Order: sequence, then C-alpha cells, then structure tokens
Amino acid sequence: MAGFKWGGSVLVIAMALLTLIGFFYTPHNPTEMNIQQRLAPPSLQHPLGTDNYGRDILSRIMVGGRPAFQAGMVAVTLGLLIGVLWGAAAGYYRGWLEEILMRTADGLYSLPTILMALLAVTLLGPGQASILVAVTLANIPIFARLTRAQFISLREREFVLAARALGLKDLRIIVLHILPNCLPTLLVQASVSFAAAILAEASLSYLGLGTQPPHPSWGRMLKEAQGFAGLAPWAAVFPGLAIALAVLGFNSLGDNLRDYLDPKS
Amino acid sequence: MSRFLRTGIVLAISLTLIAGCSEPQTRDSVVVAIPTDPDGFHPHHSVAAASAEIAFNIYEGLVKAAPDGSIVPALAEEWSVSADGLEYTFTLRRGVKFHNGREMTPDDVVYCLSRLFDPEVTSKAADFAGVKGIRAQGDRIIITLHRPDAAFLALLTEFGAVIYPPENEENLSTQPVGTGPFVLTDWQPNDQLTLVKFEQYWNPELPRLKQVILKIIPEPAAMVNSLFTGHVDLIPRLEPDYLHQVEGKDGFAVLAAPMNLVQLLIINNAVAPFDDLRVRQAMNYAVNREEIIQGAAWGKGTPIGSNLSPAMDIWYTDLTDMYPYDPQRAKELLAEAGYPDGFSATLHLPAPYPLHRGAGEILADQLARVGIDLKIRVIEWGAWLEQIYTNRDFELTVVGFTGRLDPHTMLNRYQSDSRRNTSNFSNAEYDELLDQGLLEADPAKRVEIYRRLQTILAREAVNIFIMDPNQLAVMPEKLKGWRNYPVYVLDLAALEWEK
Amino acid sequence: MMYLLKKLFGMLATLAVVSILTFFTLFVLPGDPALLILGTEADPGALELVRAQLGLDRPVIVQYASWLGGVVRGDFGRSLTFSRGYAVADLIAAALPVTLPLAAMAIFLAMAVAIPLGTLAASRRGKTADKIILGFSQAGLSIPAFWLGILAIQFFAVRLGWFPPGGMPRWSADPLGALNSLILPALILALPRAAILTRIVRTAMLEILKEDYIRTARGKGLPETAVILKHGLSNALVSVSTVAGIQLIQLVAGTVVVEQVFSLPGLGRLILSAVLLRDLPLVQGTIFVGAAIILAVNFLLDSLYPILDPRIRGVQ
Repeated sequence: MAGFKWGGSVLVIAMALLTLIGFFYTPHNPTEMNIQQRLAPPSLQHPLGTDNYGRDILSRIMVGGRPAFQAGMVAVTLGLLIGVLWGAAAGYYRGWLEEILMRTADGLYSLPTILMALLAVTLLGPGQASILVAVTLANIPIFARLTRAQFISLREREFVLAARALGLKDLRIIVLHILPNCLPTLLVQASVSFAAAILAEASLSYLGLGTQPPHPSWGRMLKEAQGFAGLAPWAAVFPGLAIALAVLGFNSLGDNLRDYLDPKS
Repeated sequence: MSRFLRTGIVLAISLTLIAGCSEPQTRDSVVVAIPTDPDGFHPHHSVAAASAEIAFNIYEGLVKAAPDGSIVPALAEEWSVSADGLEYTFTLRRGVKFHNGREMTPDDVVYCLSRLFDPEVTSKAADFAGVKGIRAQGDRIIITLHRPDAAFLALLTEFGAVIYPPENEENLSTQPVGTGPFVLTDWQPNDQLTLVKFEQYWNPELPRLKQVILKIIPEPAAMVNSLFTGHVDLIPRLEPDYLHQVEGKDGFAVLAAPMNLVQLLIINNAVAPFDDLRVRQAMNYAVNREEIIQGAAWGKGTPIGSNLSPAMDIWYTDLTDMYPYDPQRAKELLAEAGYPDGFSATLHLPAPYPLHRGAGEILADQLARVGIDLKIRVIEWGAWLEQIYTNRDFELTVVGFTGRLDPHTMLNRYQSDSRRNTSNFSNAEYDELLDQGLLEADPAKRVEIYRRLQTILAREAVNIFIMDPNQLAVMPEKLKGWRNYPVYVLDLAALEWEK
Repeated sequence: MMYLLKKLFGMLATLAVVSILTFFTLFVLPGDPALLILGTEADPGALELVRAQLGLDRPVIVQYASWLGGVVRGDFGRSLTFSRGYAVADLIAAALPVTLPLAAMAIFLAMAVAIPLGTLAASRRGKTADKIILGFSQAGLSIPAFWLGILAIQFFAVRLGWFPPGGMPRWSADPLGALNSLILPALILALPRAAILTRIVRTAMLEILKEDYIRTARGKGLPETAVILKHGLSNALVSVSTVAGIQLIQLVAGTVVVEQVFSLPGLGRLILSAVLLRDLPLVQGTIFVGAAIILAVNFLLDSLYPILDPRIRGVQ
C-alpha cells in the first residue's frame, strides 16, 4: 500500500490494543476503591495516579474505552448496513420512493445526535443502550445520503447501462456492480463516523446520560474529575487525552484513507 | 476651561460611574448561589425543599424554628396549651403587615390554616388529621384537637403553615405575598430570584440587608468559581467534593455544622432476600461508616445508627455500635441465611444528590467485598419519587431524610401503614410506641419512648443508617450573621457585611 | 421563486415531522405528569383532577392537535417542573438571549478563523504551513469540547481571572459582563466548526487555484492575490454555505455540552434539564423551537444560495 500514511492507523491500533488488553489484564481492579489513596499523583504503583475514590486511573482508562469502541462499532456497522440499503434503494429507483426515503432521512438528519440521545434516555433511561440507539440513528441518514449520491452518479455509467441491457436483475446490479464502487467512500465515512461515535459516547457520558457508575467510561471519568481539576489535574487530563487520541486516530485514518483511495479530492 | 479638560473630566466621571455600576455587589446586598429553581411558593402545593428553604424569608407562620431547634414566636406573640393537650390558644401579634400593604387579621390566619388542615386542598393535611377545628376569638386563634399531639406545635413551624392574604391566593405560587422580612420582587426561572427588604416588617431590626439575589447555578464548580471572582457571596450548601477548593482560602470562611439530615441506605424489607433479618444485619456489618464519611463527605459528617441525628439533641440515642464494621461476621450471617456466595441486587441512586450517589458507590464497593454485587442505576428525581417513593418498586436506594423539629415526625414514617414507609417496615411494638409518644406529656418519659423506637429500628436493621452530613456554608469572612438550623431553611435576615 | 417555495414547503414538512416525532415519542413514556406536579403525597382524587386539567385522558391525536393549535398561538403549555405557573414559552424566551448570541459568536469566530487559515493553507499547499494548519484542523475536530472547556476554565478563568468561570449575568443588568462570560464558551464551541470550515475553505480555494481562468489571469499579468481573493472567496463561501446547515446543527448540539460546562442558562441546558426531569411540555417546546430555528436558518441560507452561486440560478 504505497503512499498510505500510517499516522492515524497507528493511533487507532494503539488505543484499540490498550482496550483489548484491558479485557485480560489491568494493573489494578478498575472499580476497587481505596479512599486512603484518593487523588494520588502518578507514581510507580499508579502510573497515571488515582481518582477521587482511590481507583487506579490507568486501569480505568484501559477499561473505559470499551463503551467508546462499542459505540463506534455498533454505530458504524448498523448505521452502514441500514443506511446503505436505504440510500441504495433511493438512489437506484429514484422517483417517489426516493422522495419518501430521503425526506425521512432528512428529518432524521436534522435531529442532532445529542437530541436523539436525550429522547432515547427519556425512553430507556440513561445507559449504554440509549447511546447505541442514538449513534446508530445518527449514522443511518449519513450513510443513506452518501450511498444515494453515489448511486445517482453511478447508475448512469456505462457498465451499469450495459448490465441492464443484458437483462441482469436489479439486486444483482446493485450488490455486485454498483456497491463495490461505493466502498472507498463508505470506508472513509466509516472511519469518520467511528470517530464521531466515540466523541458522542464521551460527551453523553459526560452529561451523565451514558455509562453508569461504577463502570468506567472516558467521558464519565472526566465528569467525575472536573471538580478536582485544581487538586488533581491528572484525573482530568488523562481521560480527555484518551478520548482525543482515539478520535484523532480515527479521523486521521479517515483522512489517510481518503488520500489513498481518492487522491484528487 | 479648555474643551479637552472638560471632555477629560466628563470621561473620567463616566468611567468611574461605569466602573462603580459594574461592581457585582454593594455592601448592603448579597448574592447567594442555589443549585435548583424552586417549584413554586404556594405553601399548600409546593413540595420541594428548595422552595421551603427560600420561603422561610418570605412567609411566616404562627411560630417558627430557632437555630437551636426550639420553637419561638413569629406571628403569634405567645401561646398556651390546655391541660388535656386538646386546645391551643395563640395570641396574634398586632400591626403585622403583608407585603401587599394590608394588615394581617385573625381571619387570614383561620383561612390559611383551615386550608392547610383540609385534605381536599393539600396533601400536607395528612399531618393534621387530628385537628378538630380552628376559630378566631378577638385577636386570638384557638385550635382544637381530637387527641393530644406532642408534635403539633413543631408542625406549625413548617412551610405549609405560613399565613398569606387570601386575596393573593391565585398567583401565590409565582408571586408570593407573606409577612416575612423579604419580598420576592423578581423571578427569572432557571436564572435568579431577587429578594428585597420588606420595609414594614414587624421586627424593625431585621433584615439587615437591603437586597438578596439568589442565583441558580447547578454546577458546584461554577458556584465555587463564582465565589472567588466575587460574582457570588454566599454558598449555603457546598458539595463536600468542592471543600478542598475553599478550605484555607484567604478571606473566606467555611462554617460547618450538622444539618440534621439522616442519610441512609433504604432497604425494601418486603422483598427477598431483604425480608430476612440476617441478610439485613449482614449488610450492616459489612458497612464501614467512617470510610463513607471520608470518601463521600471528606470527613464532614457524623455517623448515625438509627433514624435520628445527634442534632436532635436530647432525643438522640447513639446506636452506632449495634453493628460495628465486621465483614467476617457479615459473610457468616449471609451463609447462615443461605447465601454463602452472596447475591445480586439493584441500587437506585438519585441523580441530583452527589453526596448520596457517592455514598452509594462506596457502599456498593463495601458490600461487594462480602459478596453482595450491586448494579447501580442513577435515576432522575421525578423518576425516583415515582418509582421508589410512591410505588416502592426497588430493592435498595440511598437518600437523605431532611430534619424536622419533632422526633415523632422523623420516626413516624416507619409506621406500618404510613405512606412514607419506603422500607415497608412493619412492627406492632413500634406502631404502639409511636402512638404513645404523641400522647405522652412528660418530657422525660417521652425521651425514653423515642429511645426505644430508635433502638427497635437499629436492632431490626431496617436500613443502613449512615451519617448526618455537615452543612458546609462558605462566605467571605466579612459576611456575618450566618445562622445554622436543624431544619432545611436558609435564614437571610440576620446576614450583614462587617463595617 | 418556485425554488424558494419548494424549499419552504420542505422546511415546514420537516418541522412537522420533527414535532410529531417528539410528541409521540414522549407520549409512550412511562410516568405520570400529575404526580410530578402534585408530588408524592397527593391523593388519587387530586391526581385525577390534574390529569383531566392537563387533558391527558384525551386520545393522542387530539392532544397533539391541541398542542399544535397552541403552538400557532405561541402557547407551548406550562412546565411541569419549573413551578407550575411558568409558561414554557417564557422559559424558552429567557433562554434564547443566551444561546443565540453564543451561537452567533461561535459562528463568527469559526469563520474568522477558518477563512484566513484555509486560504493560507491553500496558497501554501504541501508546504509546512499547510501541514501545520491541517494538523490543527484535525486536532480541533478530535479534541472533546468539554475537556478543553474544563481545562480552559482552570487556566483562563481560575488562574488568570480573565473571564468568569461560569454563569452569565443578564444583558439588561451587565451587558459587558454578559459578553465577557460568552467569550470562552464561544471559543470552545467554535473550535470544531473552525476545524471543519478551515478544510472546506482550503478545498474550495484549491479548486479555484487550479481553474483555467486563474491561469488566464496570470497570463494577463494580474496580481495573484487579487485573483485568489476575488474568485476563491466566493467559491469558498458557496462551499461553506453548502455545509452550513449541517454545521449549524452540530453547533446547536454543541451548546448543550458547552452550556453545561460553563453553567450558561441557555436553550441547551434547558433541553437537558427538561429531558432529565421528564418535563414533557418543556421538552416538546424546546425541541420544537430548536428545530424551527435550525430549519429557518437553513431556509435562509438556501434562499441566499442562488445569489452566491450563479450556476444554481441558471438551473432554475
């Protein structure tokens, strides 16, 4: 893969690895409290310090990435699957179907993720479930619009016209001929959406709508650390840094993919 | 005078005036930070503690609470109780004016209190089910009861029993009219309230300040920051987590005192496995109160062993030793009860109370060490009230019961059929003693009754009683006159700036 | 003309969809508004009365129609949690003077940063300046606003004392103070927008730089700067306005978090409280107003679009 810049990928792999390792090993139990050692600065025993309950920050960061990555994976997978079907139908068949589908997508699109999260929280209560619903719903119109735009431009291309002239079934054309050409754009968007989902999960957890105690989440750790930012800045700096690095990683990855797959854009 | 000089002088004066105008406070006004908006100021319909706290300055009743927990005259100059305890006679103060200018009459008192006693009007009437009647006789108010009620007078100090002019009934919630030292002149929801000195207050020495602005700042961090920049003068209730930011700061004082709050883990006694005494006892043994006080309240709290706080003075019995910290014993009891490997349960925590959430999290950690795994669910206050308080659809929760003056009103929630019996506690001996306590006229005997009641609650391990947290009031050293009460009020009348 | 009417119709349709969605979503909510109003000590008779007063016993469609009718008159009903007397319309009206200026300042700041930086990056394409600017843009998009806000408060407000660390005085009471308290939040809010817009401006300018007529102009000997500025900027503005709608939505969403971090009594914080407190009329009202504002601004931008881009005008 000549010409592919690895910066973003390295960050992504690093954060993913950190989280993955967290499934098997953490230096301390991430939820175990130790009030005597609360708000301790970084040391050999606690490389990133402790939070206001004396819990090890490094361990909590390793485990705190799980809701973020989960949000990213669900948002991208479900959002892409549903969104692509949506957009493909609209972009291929045009006409009144397109009108209805895209009007609905527009309506969904006009609702910011936070709003959808608030509605989800109202119905389901705070927690990871509401976040997953919100980020998925936020991504469906994005992928739908993207796919539709691609389809509109691609369906007039020669190879499609040829396929139709040959009498091939619509579904076959869509799946085997048009969709593969959309992949580069979708891949780039997937990376960007992953980044956005991580950021969304962090923001919503910060607002108190996401992961509930004592399970760690980077955003929630920031919320808990805010009051002690003067006393123990490490408790506020490191979780935020984790979020920033993960989001930066995926955004850069998206950029790099875009540069690699479509250099003229 | 040259044109330049004139312009210069005008400019200098203007700038000085502007600079003066943008001063956040002058020395006869104070800005107070509060975390939430009140839910209205109608004494019969408002339920939020935040509302009652502020209303303390706007309204008054026949009697009011004093900082030491005693009951002192307010709109009634003096009162007497008949020997059989069935008739209370209050002599009204003369010349008391309402904020709307009119003088208060005995008929106003009868109107307001009649409505308070009427279950069709307000649910607060439940406390007054024993009232037979009320009438005015000259400038006296006579209230008769069906049976003696030792807590009756204390109930009249509460927000529900204040007096207002009937003609202002309709908009009373947003435009309160009372007899108190301050008038509410402006209310910007979610922003701030403005209280102004009532020039015709019956006590000419109070209030000392001309104006108080109550600023609504939900984030404690912003509250503290505003304190340091001078945008806010007084924080009546600082979250303990922010104590470190203000302690030792030059020019600021932190006044800490027990607030007569009972913080506890409420256990739903009607649901397995909590219907087993041994399980509840095990949980009590598993809890280290000192660690919770350190962890959630930064050491600013007093441990309690039953449903009364040491702030209740003579009524309080120290039962913290009944279940000392002993995780080993806890595990043994659990095994005896049939749970050698512990069990799982759900702990609901109320979102707007960081102190209770913190205590809950630490509790969960302590219980986890003996094998009881708790799933924590933080829910909003409305949901908490409905699901837990009303429907009792829960297993465990942490909350605080705010203090009231008379021990009966603190302990009667554990009566078998009380609507406030969130724990679903049922004990015949307890119910009987409770009734006796109200009827008992001899103070010494009454103290003994309440001692026994507290002991029953502790012995039966109804709940896990944690602490009475301190109220942390932060203000500049120059602000004097702060008074701390064993009930949930904010007394602004005596505040003044040191000259 | 037809273009405008079509857009207007589209906007109203979307607004209707949003309002229906909100209304019916909240309708399936478990929870009793009457209980919220009267409190837990209320007896069943009183609760029934309040329910009837609120019209909760009517079929959903009727309730929606009634609510819609009220909205047209400017009556969004009464809040369930902010002291029963307060009209939702009043609460929203009090919150707008916080959020609208905040958003406006953020947009202005974002543009003020994005246009020069994007232009600079385009003109120095591939060189160090371009790389640095792209790097900043990437960082600005990735760094969580609330993290930055927390750190900014600690540094600029607590330590340096340049800005208030939270809250906002009223415009009528202290206009300078109000402005001052919006600066830090506006900067934080603007950052991600500036980051994206920088890239868009850069891309747009790059396109222009490649265009034929630039080469022609160069051939004629016209100064490069004038050429870049004239053609590049208008092209950039077109690109910006294309994404303006989306950016606006993101901005409004960002206010919820920023208002929370800085304790600003705006629309974002109002929506958050309303939802968390389950204050249905307030939720319906705030979401509706929020969506209406976004859609209205979008509509305005759509109307300006033909003026900015001659190509669209031609298509009509």
